[in-house]
Amino acid sequence: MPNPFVCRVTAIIFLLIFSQQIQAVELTIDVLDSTGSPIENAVVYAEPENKSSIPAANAIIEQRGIQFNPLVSVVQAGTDVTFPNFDSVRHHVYSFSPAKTFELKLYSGVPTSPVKFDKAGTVVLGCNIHDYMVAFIHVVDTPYFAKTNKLGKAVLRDLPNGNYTLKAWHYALAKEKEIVEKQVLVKESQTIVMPLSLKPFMIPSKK
Amino acid sequence: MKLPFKSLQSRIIFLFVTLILAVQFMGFIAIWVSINKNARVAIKEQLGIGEKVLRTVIIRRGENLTLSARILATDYGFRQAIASNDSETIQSALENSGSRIESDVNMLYSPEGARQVVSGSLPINLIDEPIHQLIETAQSGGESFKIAVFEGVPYLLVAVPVKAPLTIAWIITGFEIDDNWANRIQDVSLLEVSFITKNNRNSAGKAQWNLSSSTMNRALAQESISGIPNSWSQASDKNTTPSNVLDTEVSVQGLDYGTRYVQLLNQDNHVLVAVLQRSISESLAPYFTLQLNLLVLTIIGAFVFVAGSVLTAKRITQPLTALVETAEQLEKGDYSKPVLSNSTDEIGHLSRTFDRMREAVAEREQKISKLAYWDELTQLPNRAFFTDQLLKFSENYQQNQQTFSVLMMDLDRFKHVNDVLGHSAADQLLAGVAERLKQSCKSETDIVARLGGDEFGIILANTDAELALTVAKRLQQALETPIALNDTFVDLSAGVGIANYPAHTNDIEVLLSRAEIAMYAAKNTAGGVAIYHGGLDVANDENLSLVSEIKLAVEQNQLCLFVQPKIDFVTGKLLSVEALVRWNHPERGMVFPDMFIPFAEQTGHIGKISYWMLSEAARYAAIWQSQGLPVAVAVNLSARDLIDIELPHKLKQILDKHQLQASSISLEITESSIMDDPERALETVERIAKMGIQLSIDDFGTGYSSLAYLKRLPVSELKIDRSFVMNIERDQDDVTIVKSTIELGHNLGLKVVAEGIENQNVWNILKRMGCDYGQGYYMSKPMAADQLLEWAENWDLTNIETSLDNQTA
Repeated sequence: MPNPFVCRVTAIIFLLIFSQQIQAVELTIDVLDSTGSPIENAVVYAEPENKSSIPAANAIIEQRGIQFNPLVSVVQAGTDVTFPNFDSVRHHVYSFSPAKTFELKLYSGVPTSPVKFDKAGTVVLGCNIHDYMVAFIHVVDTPYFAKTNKLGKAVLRDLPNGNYTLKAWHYALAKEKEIVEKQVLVKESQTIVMPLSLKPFMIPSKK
Repeated sequence: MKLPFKSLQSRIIFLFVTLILAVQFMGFIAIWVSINKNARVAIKEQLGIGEKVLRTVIIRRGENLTLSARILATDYGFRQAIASNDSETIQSALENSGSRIESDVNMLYSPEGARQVVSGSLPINLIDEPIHQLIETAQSGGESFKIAVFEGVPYLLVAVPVKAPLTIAWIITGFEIDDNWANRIQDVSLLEVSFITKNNRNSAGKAQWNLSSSTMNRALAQESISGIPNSWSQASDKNTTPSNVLDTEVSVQGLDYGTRYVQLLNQDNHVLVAVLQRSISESLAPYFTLQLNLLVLTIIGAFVFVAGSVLTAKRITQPLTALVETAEQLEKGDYSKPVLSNSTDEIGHLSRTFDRMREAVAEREQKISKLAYWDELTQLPNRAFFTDQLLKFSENYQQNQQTFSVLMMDLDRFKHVNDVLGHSAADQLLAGVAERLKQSCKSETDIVARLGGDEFGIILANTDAELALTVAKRLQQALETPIALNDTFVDLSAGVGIANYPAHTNDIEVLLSRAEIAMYAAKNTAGGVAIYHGGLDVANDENLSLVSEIKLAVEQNQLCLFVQPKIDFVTGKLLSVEALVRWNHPERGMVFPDMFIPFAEQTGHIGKISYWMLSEAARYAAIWQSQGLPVAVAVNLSARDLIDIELPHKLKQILDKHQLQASSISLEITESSIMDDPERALETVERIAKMGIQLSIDDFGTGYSSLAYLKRLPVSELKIDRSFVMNIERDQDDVTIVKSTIELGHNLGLKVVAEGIENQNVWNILKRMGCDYGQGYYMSKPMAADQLLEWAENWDLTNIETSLDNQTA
């Protein structure tokens, strides 16, 4: 049982100061918990003032070894996500999340059509016949998103200068509403620390 | 240990019966106690099992619920319905599931703990707190079921998460713990089950227990509440493990129940106690039959054993009783009946040994009888036998009036024969006499016995005194022929006394003594036989009493001293006196020595008399001396005195006491008295003579005399017996004897005294013969010692010799 940890995130943002329209800025975000430990698989994304609607590329969440891979995905709203099943057994993928309620009834291989996620929010995926299979898709309204690595670092690239709302989300947030927000003026590359308070969360595993 | 019974039989029975009853009783008690203990232990075990059953039932039902709820929780449609907030569907699904699993509570809670959907009836006053706890526990991987009490009603609740794939809701479902539960548990455990709850809603102080459900009648079950410990009614920590258990015994309607209280829940004042009970008497019931049987067996056993003990006791004591009877027979002297026994055990052994003893005793008794009754030497029966036979004869007389006579025979002077010939010769002679007697008597009816020493007794059956006399004479004749002794012959004679029963007496003792009296009398007769007659007896009686009186006489100074003067023929002077004893008998008056001296000599009292005489003589001699009359006193001594070793010493003492010279006392002894034990007498006499005391031979010529001894004796005087003196006037022989005696005496250097001078003629004759001294009535009768002095003063020879010149011899 994981201990609950208080998160305190410090982010270092390094901004390259160029002309606003020519040079895109990099934002490095460090997501840390209360003890200062880095948080992996946190989704960081910067929502510009004006929403852009450039659809992103296709995302893929595969089923391999009776597991969803990756555990956490970030897609821009409007992205099609494919769920290829590389297992010998069939899976019944579903989600009851309000952001996207869907199911892919027992199948193997690649489903004929991908599933479009066009509402922002968190979608929790499960498999009907494998209780411990779980994956998260955090649908965001911005093309500028990234997932933190093991070191808790995520880099947002080619950010045009401007005001952004920087958000950090983790599936283990104590409350859904606790998505951490920060208003950031992007002029140059910088490192920003985003603290998250996580509640203890155990990823279901095969027992 | 003193038993209250006397007979061995009762003792054996008592002991055995007491033992067996004690053992049976103890066994009974032990088993009873053991049964009770076992029953209680068994009950405790059952209660333990019951508790396990209870807990297992709870767990199983919880697991069942969980499993059943899980079926619903994993249902895709159900999850869909929850995700889409389709309350109706949810409720319907819950209801369906609920009816499937027959649960009383079906609810849906949000992950945050909010009650969202309820299907069916809600428990009264359901509060969320316990449910939140349940969810929390379940979430962290602990038990997913829990007991909760709502308003006194206990429930078993389970929480099952609905995952899609993360928990989106909790299904809360459960049962009411009611009578069904109690019954179900009872079915398996065979215990009475009750559930008791408590909630503190209303009560402020004491616990208010509430009987929720029970397998027993509710009124009865209520009674069990009392046993619940008070501590259980207090609030305890939330995390108390509900495993408090209490074992006790509770009385319900008078019956004892083994009771186990199991505290299943004590949290936030919600308390559930399960009461498991087993009737003790019920569990004892089967044993009751066992114990009853045991009791019956015990009683039967006791009876059997009593009977067995009685038989055994009899078996032991009967032979003993038989032996006792035999012993009684033996006691009576009946050795005839043998003791029979065939058994090989100890009693049989005893019986056979007893029998051998009987025979041995009989044999020994015979031997002893023989010894007791038999005289080996003469081969005749002895005195004991004789007296026994006398008794038999007298008893016989009572029956058939047959008279019998007793002959007592005593051999004459047998002691003398014994001394002369020796013991073995004497014995031989006795045997010879016995033989003669046996031949002379009829052995079939008559009894011949040796009574002892040289005495024989004969009982003549059917014989009167006259006939007995002829028999006695015949016996005497038989003895006339000398008895053979080795290679020589001995002449023996005897005295035979006859007494007849019942002519002479009816008493056996007296008969014997009278025969004896007759015998003594016979010895003095020519024929040597005599029949008892009354005259003999009188003297004897008199004599007997005299003997005892003599002793008194000496002690009580009934004796007094008389003296008779001895006068010198030539000078006419009084030189000495002879002391004579007189007895002043209180009844008979003056008793002369002839009457008692012989008996005194025979019974040994003479010693005292002699001593008294010596003392008195000395006393008077002393008195006379002091008064100018120096006469010597002559005292008579008996044979016994002569053999008294102490005599010289006594004389010395007396002389010293009265300060007399030895010449003041002289002693007169007879020839016969010396001859009894000549050597001893001689020795004593010599010692006395050495002291200077004069000695005279008294009654010379009348008794046994031995001139050989006479010349050895240190005597200085001879006294001629009066029998010779008195007749010298007429009897020429006596004259010769007297004359010769005087000459003999003088030739031996002795003085001669003549006794019994009664007239002057005799005096003169004796004087002419040359006799030295004279004693007699003519000069003086014996007088009291006190009178001597006076007489002496008046004495003058001329008194008696006045007509000497006038008379010629």
